[in-house]
Amino acid sequence: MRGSIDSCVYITYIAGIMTDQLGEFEQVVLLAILRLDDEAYGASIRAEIEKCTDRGPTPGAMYTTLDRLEAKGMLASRMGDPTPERGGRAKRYFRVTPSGEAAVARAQRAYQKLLQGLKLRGGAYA
Amino acid sequence: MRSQAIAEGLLAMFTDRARASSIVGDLAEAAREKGDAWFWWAYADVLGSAAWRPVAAFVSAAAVAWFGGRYYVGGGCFSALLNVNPASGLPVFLMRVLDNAGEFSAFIFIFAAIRFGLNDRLARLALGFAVLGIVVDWFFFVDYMSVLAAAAITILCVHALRSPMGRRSLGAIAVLWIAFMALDYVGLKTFRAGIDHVLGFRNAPAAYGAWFCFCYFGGLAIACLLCARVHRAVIGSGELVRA
Repeated sequence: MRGSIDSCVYITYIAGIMTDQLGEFEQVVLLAILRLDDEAYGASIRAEIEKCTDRGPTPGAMYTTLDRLEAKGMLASRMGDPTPERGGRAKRYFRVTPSGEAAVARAQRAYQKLLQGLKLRGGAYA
Repeated sequence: MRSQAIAEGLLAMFTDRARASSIVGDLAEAAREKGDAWFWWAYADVLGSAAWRPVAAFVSAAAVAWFGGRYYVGGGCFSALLNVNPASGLPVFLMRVLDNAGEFSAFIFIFAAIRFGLNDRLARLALGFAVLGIVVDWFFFVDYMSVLAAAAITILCVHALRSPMGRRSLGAIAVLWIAFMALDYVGLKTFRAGIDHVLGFRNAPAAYGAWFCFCYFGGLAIACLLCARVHRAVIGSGELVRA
């Protein structure tokens, strides 16, 4: 009986964590937006990810991820002014919310814990 | 460019206008370096990501309406309202209304679950009504089934009314039920096609003729559009939280 109650509590706990858990690409997007600060919009985010990871994300995946993170409350967006080089279309600027920053920090701490004590080729972690 | 404006208009069918405009602007800005071919490749990728869920939701909901729509749903509700027979009593009337409400709800559930995800409040509430409608349908021969189902629906409604989002979902479902009945009433044959299918007269929409298909699929398309619009207006933006 005690074991089954513990299991239920554990499952509830894990489910609670899972709702705020970030996928790898979500972390990449959030970090790119944090790096860009006030200049984070679709084209610049994609360029920043490409510059830092040597891999350009597909636009469909990136906009889907931006929408998902905004729906989770980890991103907020606002519309800028129209510009001629974009055919008179406005930029949609993103910023990371406090809960987004907390989620990235939590995910990175988990990575750091996993790396502790490992000696990997190309970099040592102690 | 005119072609980019058309592309923006097409994308706006699957997301809001401001978002579509900013996405096409991003692609146009990047295409100044990468070229027109890249623009159209990237646009196709974005459009595919934005469109597959609404398209899949429409196709699935249409299939449910086709195979599940055995009754003249909208007309059924009206005739049930108009032909309450004191001799057969309230249970028969309740049975008809609950059955029809279940058919509507199954349509809403399939559409909302695929379009907005299983965690969506409208999808969950519609699932509750759909299950009750199916129970009424399958166990129609059980005495007082309709009364039991009505009691269960009352509990479901009271539960929904306890939270603001539940109230909104209930309101959205009520608006959609009325709109679907009206659609059927004005002649669009949404939800009606299945009766002949089940009875074995015909087995494909094409067998009914072009005008019927136009009315049927046109009605379903309007029904799906209504689901999306009502969801956006009553519940929120409806942006899916994809796992």
